[in-house]
Amino acid sequence: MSHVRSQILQTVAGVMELVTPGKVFGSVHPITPDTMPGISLYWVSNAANTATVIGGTERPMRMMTDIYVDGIDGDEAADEIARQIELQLFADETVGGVAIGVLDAGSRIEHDDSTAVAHTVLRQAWDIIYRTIDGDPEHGM
Amino acid sequence: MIADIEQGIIARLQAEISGIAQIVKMMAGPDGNPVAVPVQIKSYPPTPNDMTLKTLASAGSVLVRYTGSRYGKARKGTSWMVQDRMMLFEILIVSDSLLTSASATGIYSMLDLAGTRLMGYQPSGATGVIELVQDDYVAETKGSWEYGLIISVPTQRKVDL
Repeated sequence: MSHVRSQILQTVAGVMELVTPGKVFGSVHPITPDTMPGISLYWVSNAANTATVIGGTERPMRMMTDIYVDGIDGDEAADEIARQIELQLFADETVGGVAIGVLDAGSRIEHDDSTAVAHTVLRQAWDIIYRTIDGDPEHGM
Repeated sequence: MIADIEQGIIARLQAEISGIAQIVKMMAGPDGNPVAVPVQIKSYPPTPNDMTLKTLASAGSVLVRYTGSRYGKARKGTSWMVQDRMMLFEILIVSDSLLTSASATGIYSMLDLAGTRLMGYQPSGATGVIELVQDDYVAETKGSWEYGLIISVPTQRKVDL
């Protein structure tokens, strides 16, 4: 069985497929015309809080959903995808039964015309809160 | 891909500037009467020489050739790899006159027109629009002037791993 972190990402990837079918990637997005609009899904940090759970650890995982849209004027299109992502994530805050909550950790937008395909990226940060029993990283409490 | 994009650029120039009055040169026909000679627009000749250039310059010519590419840093996934490729083409303007007159097709006019009509155009196979990079004097050979306009065409290469 995989780490709860991986389970969360796999579940979220499945949910993201509902938003941009066939265009969900890991931390590197191809930035090609045929892969946009698309989502890059990855985690960047995972804190550990042992004080709140006896015999276990509460682990807020910072997860990113970067939305890539063709063109540097893609703000509205990116926002529409951001809306759909939020609806999907909060539809099941347990993320398939392994987490205890989802928090919106903010977002920012970037415009890049330095690549061969000018594009807009809306980077959304999420904190997925989950708990594990010490020594057992495979099961959420 | 290179030949396809070069042909796209040539087709664009042919459609946009070949026949416009501003750069049509009036030359004497076989019967002595003036004949309107449109600017020639084509790929760079495979074996250019002084005589070729002289002929091209007499009517005024716009020649297109690929000069190379700059590649961006590769983006890699587990099953794919993508690199941005900025292709550069030279639009070589050849004429026996710098300024446009009643009997001459001015190189400055052609240079400006070529840039204006190519800027913002997206050839088939490109991922974005053409940008102008620079123009410059290239050479003068026995009265045949050559100026070059460098343009960039954004493209990509993608392979499955």
